[in-house]
Amino acid sequence: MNSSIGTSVPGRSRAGSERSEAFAQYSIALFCLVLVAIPLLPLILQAFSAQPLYGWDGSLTFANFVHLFGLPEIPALAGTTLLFCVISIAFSTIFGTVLALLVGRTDIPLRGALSNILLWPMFVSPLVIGFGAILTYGPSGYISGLYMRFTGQSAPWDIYTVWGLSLMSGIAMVPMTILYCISSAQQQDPRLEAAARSAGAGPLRIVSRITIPLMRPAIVYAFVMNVVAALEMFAIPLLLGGPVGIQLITTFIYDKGFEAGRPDYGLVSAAAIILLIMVCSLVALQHILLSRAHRFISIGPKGGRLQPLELGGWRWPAFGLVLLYIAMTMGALGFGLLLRSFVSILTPFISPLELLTLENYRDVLFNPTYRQSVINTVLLAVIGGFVATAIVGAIAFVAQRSDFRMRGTVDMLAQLPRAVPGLIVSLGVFYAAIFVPGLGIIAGTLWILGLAYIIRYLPAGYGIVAPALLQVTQDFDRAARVAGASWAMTMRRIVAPVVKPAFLACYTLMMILFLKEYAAAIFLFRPGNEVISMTMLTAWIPGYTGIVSSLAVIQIAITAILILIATRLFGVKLHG
Amino acid sequence: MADVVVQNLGRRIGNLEILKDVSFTVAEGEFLTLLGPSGCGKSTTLNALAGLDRPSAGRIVVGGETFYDEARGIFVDARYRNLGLMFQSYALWPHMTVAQNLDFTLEIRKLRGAEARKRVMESLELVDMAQYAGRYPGELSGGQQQRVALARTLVYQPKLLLLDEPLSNLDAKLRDRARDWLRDLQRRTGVTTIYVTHDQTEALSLSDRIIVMNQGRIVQHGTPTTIYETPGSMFVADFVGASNAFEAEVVGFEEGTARLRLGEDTHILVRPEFTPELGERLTVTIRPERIEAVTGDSAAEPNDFSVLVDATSYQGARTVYGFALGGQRVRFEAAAGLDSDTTARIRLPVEAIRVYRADA
Repeated sequence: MNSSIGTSVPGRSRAGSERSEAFAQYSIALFCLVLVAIPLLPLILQAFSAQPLYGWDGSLTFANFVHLFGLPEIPALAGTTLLFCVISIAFSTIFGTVLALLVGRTDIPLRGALSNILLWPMFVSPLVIGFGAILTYGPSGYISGLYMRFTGQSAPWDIYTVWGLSLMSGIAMVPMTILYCISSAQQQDPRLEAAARSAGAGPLRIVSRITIPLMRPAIVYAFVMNVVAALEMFAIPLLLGGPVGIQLITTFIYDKGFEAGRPDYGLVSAAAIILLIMVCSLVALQHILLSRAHRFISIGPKGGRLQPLELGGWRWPAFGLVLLYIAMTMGALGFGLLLRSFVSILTPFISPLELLTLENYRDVLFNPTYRQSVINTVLLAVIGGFVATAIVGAIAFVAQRSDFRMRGTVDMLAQLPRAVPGLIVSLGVFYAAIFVPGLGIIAGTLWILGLAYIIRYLPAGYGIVAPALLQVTQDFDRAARVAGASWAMTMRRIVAPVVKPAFLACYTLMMILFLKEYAAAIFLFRPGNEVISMTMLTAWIPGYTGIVSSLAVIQIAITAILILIATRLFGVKLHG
Repeated sequence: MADVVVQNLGRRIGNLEILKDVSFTVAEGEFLTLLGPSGCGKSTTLNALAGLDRPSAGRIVVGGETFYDEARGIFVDARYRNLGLMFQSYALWPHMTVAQNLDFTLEIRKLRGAEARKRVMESLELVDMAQYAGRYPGELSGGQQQRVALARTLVYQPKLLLLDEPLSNLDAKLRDRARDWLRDLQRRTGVTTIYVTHDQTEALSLSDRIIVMNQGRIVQHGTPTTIYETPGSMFVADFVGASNAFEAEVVGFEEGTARLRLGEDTHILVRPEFTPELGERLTVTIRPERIEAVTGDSAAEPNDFSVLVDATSYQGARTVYGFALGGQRVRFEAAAGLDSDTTARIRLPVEAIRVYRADA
């Protein structure tokens, strides 16, 4: 090695390149702030403005809230929402915990396959679950018809009630509970159960005294998430409650927002703010719970493998019960949708073979609106999902991997939309398009849907990338910096490739979420930027159930193909 | 290569002063070690030198270029310092091959093509890793990763090499070999090196000079021999090498030596570098290997004692014995030969004993 001073980092003035580095970080942080502010600021302003935002005179008022709470239907609305929450959450928590224990901790047959299948509803839009519910369990549904055929009486259930729509919503919420409980059940220290076993405890005692108490943080966490999900639940109440006049807070906002003539924007915003405050406080509560839950986790080497609890004689009956649950929920709903998409009328009284037709799919294919909606949905998922992943990455780099002064704020901002229900993102972006000069250009295009989707799912993507970044040692960055690399170069060439699996998982999740999203689009769609969810909703109103079913099947098929490609080809792990 | 001047370096986070008034210089081509227990400020000093952490007071000049000067508001970021820093974790980028890891640092310096390839191979040959150029870090053993990490810091010929506990992730046997190899490599390249460790063996065997740090300050500064033979304080005596330590009271003076009372009727002679007062309590230290077992009938000297050896611990090359002296437990080392529970003649040579004031 020669003795001269080594090769130094070339050219460019230090001050200049340091400035451009800071500029890049400021821009990303500002962009994050704008993303989060777009749906919230106009909404908050509107809630305190007496006029619609486009004619706002700058004065602030509480009149909208006074008006809202003075409405005669509010007590009933609150009561129904509460009852809905109680039933759907109870269903989700009980079924979710029991199913998670059965497939996660016992020697039930086919436990791996079962635990995968039980999570499937997560990847399907609640809108599709609602359609499926009506087609199977509705007054003229397939199963209701079967019941009539065999008993001669009409079915004793009615899903067009608070109970009916709560239970159907519960089905959509169960997978989330399972997901939290299953990982908690499987991550327990096996020594704790082994100790109980060697002390003479039987399986039932182990479950009730060791396993479930240890799962408490996960159950509590899942419970809070269920409350959030129930408050946000919109599609199923709309489909099942709408026709009979049952209103929850979300459907109230929707109805008022689309009220004939001039919608009362102030009233809608005030209701949205109330919903926002409820969800925000729950998300805050869940943050506190989560930070405390870490104390429950025992860190250290695992003492051997977790041994499945033996069900003994209950092994096959338990398996039967899980199968029955799957058959009655996603099995029945999926079968109803699939069958309906291939027949001219859905009825158990005539053999489906006689009614077989491809007409529904032909309609979808040849009707420009439907075809366009499928293309739009795929475009949004593939391109929008990619853009979302890039934005998530840039924000996560600033928040987790920079010297940026306000990186803590950026970290908080990126997680904030978690507390904003999809319907409210939609409403907020809708107002922003009216209020923010220049933003009106993208109204009615796919861009505005993409914007709303990205805002809505920013926290979901950040929730995958940020923890992955935390697990990568900062020494990698420091080594690159000492070697002379700029921040941007370090992120692009060192950190990004190291966390590539997290980025792939993020992109996959974004595509799945964008495929099934409906709530964020509801106030934003116009002829031309329709997506599958929206055309399903419009086709449902005049009763084109065949077309709705075929669209739903197409949506599910695209999601399934996507998940297959991601998990098989790219080795993406979506959970666990 | 360059010389280093560090002046009155300080680092304060809130009310916590983690570095205080640290000053030293390193000559061109010198190997300097910062030695101390965890939390002593050695890594903070290294990060300040590397430019990864901005100190709150002082000045750092490397090769005539001011990297940091609080008074003049200068702070050059790590990126522009052109130093080599090797991490305890090695921090080899896992998605790049060995050659790519080295080449990336050259790419930043816009050094491409044949010249870059030549430099990469030269550096890998220097650490005997040329045949592993195409491997990924995950496919290498700990010792090989350590070599690659060093090659990566050397490939762009940094002004200064900073090493942060580079051997602590190796197992004991490998660590001994790596130490010799590292010393040899530093001599061959002649790069100015600052080495951080808490391992006194590494510090003693590698360094031209050692700086011992404690609680954010420099406590002693000298060659390995000075540090080991004449520790300046009780802390250094204890931290660098094992020491017997006990308290004793000054009871008299005789021709340059002081007489200390250890127990009821046990007195030892010491030669302090300061003038103690009568009745003052001093801390006395002596290294276990400096205590001699007196054999035969050699004439009695000061500090000869007849003791009962009541503990032995065989450690292969040497044996550690224990006995009680004036109510204090004392350990000493010898090749072998004493039996347990026998009376032996022991000598504590006056020149081997160091005394400190109780507050030092």
